[in-house]
Amino acid sequence: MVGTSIPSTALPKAASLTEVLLAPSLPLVDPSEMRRLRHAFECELQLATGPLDPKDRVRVDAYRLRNSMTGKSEADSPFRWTPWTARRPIGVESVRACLSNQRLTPMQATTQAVERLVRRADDESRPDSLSGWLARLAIGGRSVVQAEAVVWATQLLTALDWIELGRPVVGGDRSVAVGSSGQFVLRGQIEVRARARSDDGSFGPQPVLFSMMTGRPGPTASAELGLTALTVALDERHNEIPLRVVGWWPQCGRALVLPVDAAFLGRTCEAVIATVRATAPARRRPALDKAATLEPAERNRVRTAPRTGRKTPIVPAERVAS
Amino acid sequence: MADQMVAEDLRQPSTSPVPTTGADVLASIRGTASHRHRVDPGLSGGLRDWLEDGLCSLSAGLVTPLVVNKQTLRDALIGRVDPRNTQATITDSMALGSVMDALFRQLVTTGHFDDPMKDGIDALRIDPRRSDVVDFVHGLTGQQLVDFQNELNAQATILLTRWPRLSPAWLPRTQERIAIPLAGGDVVLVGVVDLIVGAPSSGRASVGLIELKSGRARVEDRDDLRFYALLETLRSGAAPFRLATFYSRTGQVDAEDVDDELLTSSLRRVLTAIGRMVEEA
Repeated sequence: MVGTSIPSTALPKAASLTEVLLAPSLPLVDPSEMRRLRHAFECELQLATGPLDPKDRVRVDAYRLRNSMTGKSEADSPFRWTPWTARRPIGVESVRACLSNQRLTPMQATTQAVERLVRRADDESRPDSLSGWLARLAIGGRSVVQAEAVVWATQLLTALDWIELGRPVVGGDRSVAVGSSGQFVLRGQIEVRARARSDDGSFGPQPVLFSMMTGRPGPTASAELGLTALTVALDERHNEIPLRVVGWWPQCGRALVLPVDAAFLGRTCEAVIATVRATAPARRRPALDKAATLEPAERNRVRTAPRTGRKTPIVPAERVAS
Repeated sequence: MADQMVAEDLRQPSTSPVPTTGADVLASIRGTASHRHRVDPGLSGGLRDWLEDGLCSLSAGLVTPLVVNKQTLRDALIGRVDPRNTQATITDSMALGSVMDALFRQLVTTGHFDDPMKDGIDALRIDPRRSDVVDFVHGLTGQQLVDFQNELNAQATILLTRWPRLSPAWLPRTQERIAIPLAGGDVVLVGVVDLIVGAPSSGRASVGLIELKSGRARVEDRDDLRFYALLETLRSGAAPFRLATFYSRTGQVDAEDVDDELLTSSLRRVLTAIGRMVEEA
């Protein structure tokens, strides 16, 4: 099932979603193909920006990708906590708590999560930003955050048949730094990572990804989900290529099931490069602007060029940061 | 469709309503278990097809996307179409409704509120889109402010004393958004339901939709919830089993079961309203 809703006649929907998420399949991208794609991607990224100031980082996440693809200008405002940005981290914590304690409901788990965060702000001299923000909120404001997190956690908990998922990882977002300098950082949002089933029904080695999205599927949905898959595929710590990525829009009850093959990853790479190109020009050193104006033929030659010289490894962002 | 408990005569609201207890409210929201019908697997798809068919002849003149919510539906049906979609001017009753919605959300989520005015305004203040309401309330002075506070305190007391504590196992979630794109995304039906209870259906109707109203009971209140029932059916593939409006002015509940007829009448209403929007555009 590609790019369609799950059938509205199939109830419960959680069973249908879980079935399509875990369905057995042969791997669609072989490791050598992935190596070629990785190399071409790194070359293209460098060409897209030219050498960057060592202090610069170009970060591509779903938000930035979406804005770039829709031509929406990105307000240069710093990230701030709101009930809508806070609901996910609190919701993830609540879902984990509910999965480890079957008697816990999202409402109870969220209450505990919020209390824990506020306590942390009281106990620690330098609390994390979410704890500090929550602790500063008045009771009325905090109740809105909690209520939003309850909705989020309930939507995720009721989206899947968790018993069938084996040992899923909840909320394992990935960040990878691409290139030797680690200046390009990709971030994929993953609500659930599980293993696809093999033909004999046991869990196989290949990861499958589930992302819960906001609103309704738009023209950038495929690229946003592709970014999630690409981030996992490029992460050398785990060295695994996801089999598929499933996007779920609880507000409209729609799902998008995307098998991860080389063409899909290639399209996602192009979308990321376009985003980097749109984001980075201001930071680019003037003398190297010419590199970004390569004719398509030349760019294709670069894309297919054999790997030479020093390897530009893709390293996890966390390692770069440390 | 059986009316289990009607708060007031919807055309002539009572001035001395019969008090209800939390247990009464709970029973009214629950309805009768035997009325929870098995889900017709073709109903949701059929409703969607009906809407799509109806919209394909209408959507030619649309400025897209046309976002349709309970208010635009009402406005279109009474001939009050605002093509510029200007924001309505805030009134006392609108501000009261917003603060009561916030308090209801807080009560369902945390089980309590202390200072209705402070908690309500703090809840609205966190959302920049509600700044008009916050500014309006902060701008009240003299007798207008006293009246507002008195009405708010009275309704908050009714809410605290009459609204039952729901079991967390009912999975209560507040102000959940539903957005149903139709006609290839040219028309989007949207709703924000004050309270949804029940796990998603696994074959039998299992979800209840509840709205809080701070004003007098009106016939249109049911239309709002029926519209939400249609959205929920399209979203989840299963119709809700129960719709209820809690009136914080009186503490009473107007509730009804959901059946096919209710959904199809709501669907016709949506198509009629969109037709008028297109004519006016």
